[in-house]
Amino acid sequence: MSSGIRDKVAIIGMGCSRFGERWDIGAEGLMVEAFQEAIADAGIEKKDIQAAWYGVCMDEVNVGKGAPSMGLALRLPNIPISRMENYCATGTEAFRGAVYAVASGAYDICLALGVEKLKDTGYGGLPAWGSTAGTLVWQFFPNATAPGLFAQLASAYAAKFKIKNDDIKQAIAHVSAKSHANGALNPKAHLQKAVTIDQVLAAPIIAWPLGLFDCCGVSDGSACAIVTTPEIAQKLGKKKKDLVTVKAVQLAVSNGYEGGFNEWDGANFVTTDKCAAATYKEAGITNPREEISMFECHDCFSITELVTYEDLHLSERGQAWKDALNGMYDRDGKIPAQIDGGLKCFGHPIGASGLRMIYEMYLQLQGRADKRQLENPRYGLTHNLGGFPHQNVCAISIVGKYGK
Amino acid sequence: MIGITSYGAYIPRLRLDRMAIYQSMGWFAPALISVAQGERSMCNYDEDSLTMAVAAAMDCLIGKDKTKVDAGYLCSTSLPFLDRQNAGILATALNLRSDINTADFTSSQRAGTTGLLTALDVIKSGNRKSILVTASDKRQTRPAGFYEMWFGDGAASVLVGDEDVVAEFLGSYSLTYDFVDHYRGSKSEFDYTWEERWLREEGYAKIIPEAVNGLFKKLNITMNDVQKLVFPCFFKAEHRAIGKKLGATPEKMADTLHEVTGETGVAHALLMLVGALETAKPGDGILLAGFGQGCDALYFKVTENIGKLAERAGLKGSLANKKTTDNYMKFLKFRDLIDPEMGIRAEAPVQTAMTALWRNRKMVLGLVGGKCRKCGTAQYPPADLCVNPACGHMGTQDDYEFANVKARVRSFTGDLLAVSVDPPAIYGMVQFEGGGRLMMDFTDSELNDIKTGMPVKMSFRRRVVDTARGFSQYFWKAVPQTDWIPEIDFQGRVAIVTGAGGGLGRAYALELGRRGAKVVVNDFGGARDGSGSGTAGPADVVVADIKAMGGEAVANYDNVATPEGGQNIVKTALDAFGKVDILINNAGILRDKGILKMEPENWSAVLSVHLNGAYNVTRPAFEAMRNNGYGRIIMTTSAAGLYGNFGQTNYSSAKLGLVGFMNTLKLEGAKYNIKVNTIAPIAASRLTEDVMPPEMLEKMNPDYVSGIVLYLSSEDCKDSGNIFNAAAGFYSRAAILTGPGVMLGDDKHVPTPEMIRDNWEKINSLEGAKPYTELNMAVMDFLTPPKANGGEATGGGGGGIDVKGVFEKMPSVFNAAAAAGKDVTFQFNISGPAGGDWFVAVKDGACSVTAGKGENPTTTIGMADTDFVDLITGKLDGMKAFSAGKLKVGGDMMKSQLIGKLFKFN
Repeated sequence: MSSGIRDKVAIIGMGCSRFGERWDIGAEGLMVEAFQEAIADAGIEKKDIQAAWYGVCMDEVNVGKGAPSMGLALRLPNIPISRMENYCATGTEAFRGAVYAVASGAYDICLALGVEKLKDTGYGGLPAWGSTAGTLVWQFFPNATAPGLFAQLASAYAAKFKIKNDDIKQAIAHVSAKSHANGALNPKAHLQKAVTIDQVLAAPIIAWPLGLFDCCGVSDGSACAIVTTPEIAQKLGKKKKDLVTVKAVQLAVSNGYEGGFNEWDGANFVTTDKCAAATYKEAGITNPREEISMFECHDCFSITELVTYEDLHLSERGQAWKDALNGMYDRDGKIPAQIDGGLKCFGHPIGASGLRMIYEMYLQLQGRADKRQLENPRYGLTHNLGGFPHQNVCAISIVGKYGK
Repeated sequence: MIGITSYGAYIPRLRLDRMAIYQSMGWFAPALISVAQGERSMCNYDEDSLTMAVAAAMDCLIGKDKTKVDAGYLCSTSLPFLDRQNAGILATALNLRSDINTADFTSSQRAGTTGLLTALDVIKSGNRKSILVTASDKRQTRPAGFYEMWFGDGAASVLVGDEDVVAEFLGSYSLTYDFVDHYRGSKSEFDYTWEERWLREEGYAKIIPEAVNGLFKKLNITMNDVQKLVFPCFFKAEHRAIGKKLGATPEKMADTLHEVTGETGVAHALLMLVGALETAKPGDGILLAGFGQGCDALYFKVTENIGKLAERAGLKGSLANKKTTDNYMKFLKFRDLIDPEMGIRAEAPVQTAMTALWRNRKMVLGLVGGKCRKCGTAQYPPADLCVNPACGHMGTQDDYEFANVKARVRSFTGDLLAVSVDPPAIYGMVQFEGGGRLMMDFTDSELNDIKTGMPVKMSFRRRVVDTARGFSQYFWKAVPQTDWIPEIDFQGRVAIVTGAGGGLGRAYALELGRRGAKVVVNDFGGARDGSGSGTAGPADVVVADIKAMGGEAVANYDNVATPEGGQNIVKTALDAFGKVDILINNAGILRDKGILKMEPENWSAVLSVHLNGAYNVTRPAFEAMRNNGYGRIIMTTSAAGLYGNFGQTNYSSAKLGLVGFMNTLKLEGAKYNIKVNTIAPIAASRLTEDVMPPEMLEKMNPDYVSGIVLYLSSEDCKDSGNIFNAAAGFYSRAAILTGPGVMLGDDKHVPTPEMIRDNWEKINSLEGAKPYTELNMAVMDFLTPPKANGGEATGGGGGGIDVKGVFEKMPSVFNAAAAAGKDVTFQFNISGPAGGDWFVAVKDGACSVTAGKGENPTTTIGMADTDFVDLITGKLDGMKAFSAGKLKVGGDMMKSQLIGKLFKFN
């Protein structure tokens, strides 16, 4: 009988590069930047790492296929390296591989690393896939981009709960402004400047109602984690009371229900809702609204974050927009969201984002989050979503203090 | 008999105003002004001759059995492929049978008429039975040339066969001459045209008449046998001259359509033919001629069947569906005649894998999805495993065509990031009626015109041109039908319908469910007379029907005749859906008997279900509505109650009792935005099936009543307390009206029967009869009937203030201290020449005065203008005014006493 992952795996070291338009460095250099920090944080030697999971999504425009690029960049000693890709949930997918390897007892110490170098394409925005999206899909998928597909969430949500256009614009503007206020305190973020609600509302429209400041940017970055069992962590000298362990990590993948069956109303994420339930169950959390102290959710677009408040069971259905406006998710609110600034301020180097989220939760739990430090956080949740509202992958993890 | 059995057409929606070309290029080619009249049709960026051909062919196949089509010809000089049969792509898009013959007819402007006469010859041979001939052209022209002005884009399609012929084919005559008025070499983009005068004089003017006369001789007919002479010729004067030469009077000449489309190349002869057929009468002779390296002439005689074709767009509809543009740059870009910067994003790979296209050709080219045999779910794309999470069976899907299925916009966006030659890129989720949905590109629309819920039609379009490989790729897009009038929507509303298992109740429940309401379908399932212990069946069937439409509903089987039953019905709604917005009291039974045979049991049973039943359900429903600040209640009365009907004393009493219920309930509901209205329906249902003759019942579909019931149940309806008759499409208002009446006797003299008798006519008079909305207003009128307006002064009295002045001054004389904790509104209706209506609201220690009528006033004050001023200025005492009938108070009379305290005028 399976027993989940709770408290079976501890994170002993993490690293995160500076995110941004890193004209100065390639994917290889970003990997090294993150890895150096992690290995120092863990206090182990490179030869102690027994297996690695390597997350990159758009390899065609940066590292190319296969795992050797990571072996080469980090000079890992011919250990197993598994290439992972699952849209924007790639980072958490890499983490999941490393975590299960340790929990299974197959390995003692594993590495999960995500990296993405998107700024070698020569143009702004996420690279267009064209026919590389798939030989059949290419023949009938509409001329769509992420902003346009996610924008439809907003009109569906507003119609479902009869919210006025102005109100929905205000709510999502608040989401972005709040994240910017947090990012301004983070030296590793790409954008470190606060914005006002008015600036957000006045920004040019990309796909109504999403304006420029409702969309996260495209950037380069890398983040990684070194994991082991709590017992080995203590043998390595980590104090039991400081140990950050994985409470749960879950995935949920679309199966055509949203986009091809007749029920889904377009106003939320079916996968996030189900994944959240499974994650809370694995972590033993019964009242997420009271028990989750902080979270990083996938704010590729402000509206994604808004409806995710409900899909994570933190806001009641139809109330997220009010909760956002009331400051529930602000830094000094009940459950701070994107305390590090989120995708909004870091940008979204796809393979790295999931691990960057875990990095901030890890720092917060250890009291190392500097100006962003929250008081006594108990559980930190990361939500990492790839694809579009009607067809996607949702990955959620929860980390906390060992035994608590 | 063989001939034309159907026809269709397609002209692109965009029409370029020819003056726009002249305005851009007139400096370069001033002579263009001579042909710059009207508009030329212009393909959208995603259209070409193949997409237009599909559209015209779909139009032609309306009402026809396409499984019978055993050959398909596509005629054009601008097909996307020189070698990959274009007619085969057309056949796949239409999902025709595979065991047919298809051919492209090309390389000449007369390819259309040649295709048509060839098809007719094949039919005549008996070797084939039904051939679809489609002609289409989108010709490329150099900017600022005459041909850019003359040409248009378009397509036409004609079905020929030997069954239900609408125009009999009597013969053709062809000439083949290598007369090179123009040519286009196999590697050239543009036509090369010789001298115009030579074209006209040696080409059109000689060859067309030779062909027409040849046909006349062959068939032994003359121009007298021709009612419509149809031949393209973009030289206007030459067109007239040829007609004259052939002996055709001007009204026989089919219009060349220059001002409305321009000449559509190979399509044009067939397009003009479609135009002629649309206006033809049985017996008309049509002579069609197509010029191009020779000339074809064909002769048809229109049959009686011409009026029997199902409605289609044809030429007329295609012309009407238009959007004029003066954006010449757009025209040039759409035809790649200019090469604007598209950005690096546009360099994304675009190759199509032929193997993947072959395996999925029906799905991609034909928009064929699947329908699961196990659960009935229609789905796109079709797949091995059914998409229904409750089904998931493998290998159970039959082909299901989506191309002609009605659909609606579920969500949409305008995307400025996506690479587009006509930004923003518009796309969204399309929901098909009967099941199935797909995220699709939209086309032929502007972002501002699109609304969720709007209907869309499927259109075959060119998705992508892979210029490096010379490949055109096709898929379907959604075209929003922007002339749609949005339905009154019930999304998010919860409705209870009693007696909804059949007849009227069922009609209401189905329509509400279809429009998005969540419905509690209540039906006890008893017999018509209410006997029996009830069955679940009827309610369950209606619930299943609503769900099959994609709606939400639950069944309830309680009997309305008991308070517990009523409470349970409302509880069902609250448990399932959380609230109640709409209640339609429709449940009812019949026990008709004359009064002498009307035993107590039959009397009370009918009252129990109709009248008590309405009370039993309305009371708990009203509470739920009050909690939500919204409600719409419908009572069902009857002509029997309103007017009387032999044998129905029980029914009439119950039914008019419901009107009484409404009269008071509307007052109690007013401040909660709960509106109550009543309908008196006449329709075919269980209650009428043996009291009306069958022929009458046929026309009395309950659907004819549900329209007004749904309107009264909607947020749009602001009326309350009204009664409406509804019968087979007829609607009228019924009301209790009260006549002017007469006052008899006085303080000292009691009216005697004799006085009554002598004033009988006056007492009975209904002259100027009017409705009363509540008791107080009526009683006051009776006790103090208004005196006739004498020549009293225009509102003002002395003291210099008039009615208007009073209201202007009110805020300044407002006593805020007295207003503490008060939340009241007063509606002043002042009659007389200086009068008017004012709405005064007092709340949170502040007052506001607005002219006009406000919603749901606490208290209503009615006075004549002079009296009002006197009252306000203290000249007239309030109580005296009231008992003298000068002051009418409605609503909360006690609150009216606040007025003097709140506003101190002296």
